[in-house]
Amino acid sequence: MADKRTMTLNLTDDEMNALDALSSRYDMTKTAIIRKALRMYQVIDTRLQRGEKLFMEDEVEKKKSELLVL
Amino acid sequence: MSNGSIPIRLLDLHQDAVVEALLHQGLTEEQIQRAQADWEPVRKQAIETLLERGYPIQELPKHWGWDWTRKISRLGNPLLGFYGLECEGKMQGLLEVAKEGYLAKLPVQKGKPLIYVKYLETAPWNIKILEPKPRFGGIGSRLMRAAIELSLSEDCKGRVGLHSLPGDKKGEPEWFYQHVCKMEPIEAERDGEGLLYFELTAEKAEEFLKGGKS
Repeated sequence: MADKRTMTLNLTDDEMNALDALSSRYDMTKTAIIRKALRMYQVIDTRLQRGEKLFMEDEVEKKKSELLVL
Repeated sequence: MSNGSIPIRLLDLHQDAVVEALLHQGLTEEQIQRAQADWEPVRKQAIETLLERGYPIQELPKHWGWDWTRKISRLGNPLLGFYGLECEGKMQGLLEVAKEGYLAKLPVQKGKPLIYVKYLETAPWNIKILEPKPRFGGIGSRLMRAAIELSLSEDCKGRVGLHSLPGDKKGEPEWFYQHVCKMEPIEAERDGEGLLYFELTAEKAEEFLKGGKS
């Protein structure tokens, strides 16, 4: 397993509430949620850098919308 | 990308002895190419031998058609994990897992994230189809253990899911996942190819780990 390092994270109340909600919904620690989010961001960013686009699709409504990622 | 290797023990069934091996957590392109090059001629020879013996072609192990070198482009993808079990300078088993994008289906853990086993294969000389006594034993179990340990370290509580290759006779894939790994089959979750879905609960994962030796 890769070595891990510790850091302090400063979040607003809203951000912390969002993190709490995700942590509770998925039965995971906040650290695990942030690690997952970072991994997803990393993959999305790599593909956006290649010139690809990220879409969300609503199968019922047959709608696609482009998602902007910074 | 490699996260290091840890020493483990395997059972050498020919010598009836416990031997030292390495579990690689993360694989390199070279390791995958070498494994494929070692396995492919043995698989081909085994297929010829079995067909000559009148073995039904539809019952040959489906994973003998897998080409692990096609997965090389996915090395380094942070959403995936690759593992290899090496002993006596050869890869004895390979595993690819997805760390993201899969949620549990069993009612007791529905909607919770899990580790999804995409591919798990034992080297052709370690399965019983040709000889009653293969070279090394417990490769599949040790790789499943690696998937469970990853699930714990990812805070998925030991939950693991997979779609199994067919075969429910003793020693075949579905039998292995259900009776050795204690995973529950879910008929309604068969994939597009008709492969049966199996899932391991947190409780059964703990039991499985307690039953393991290394």
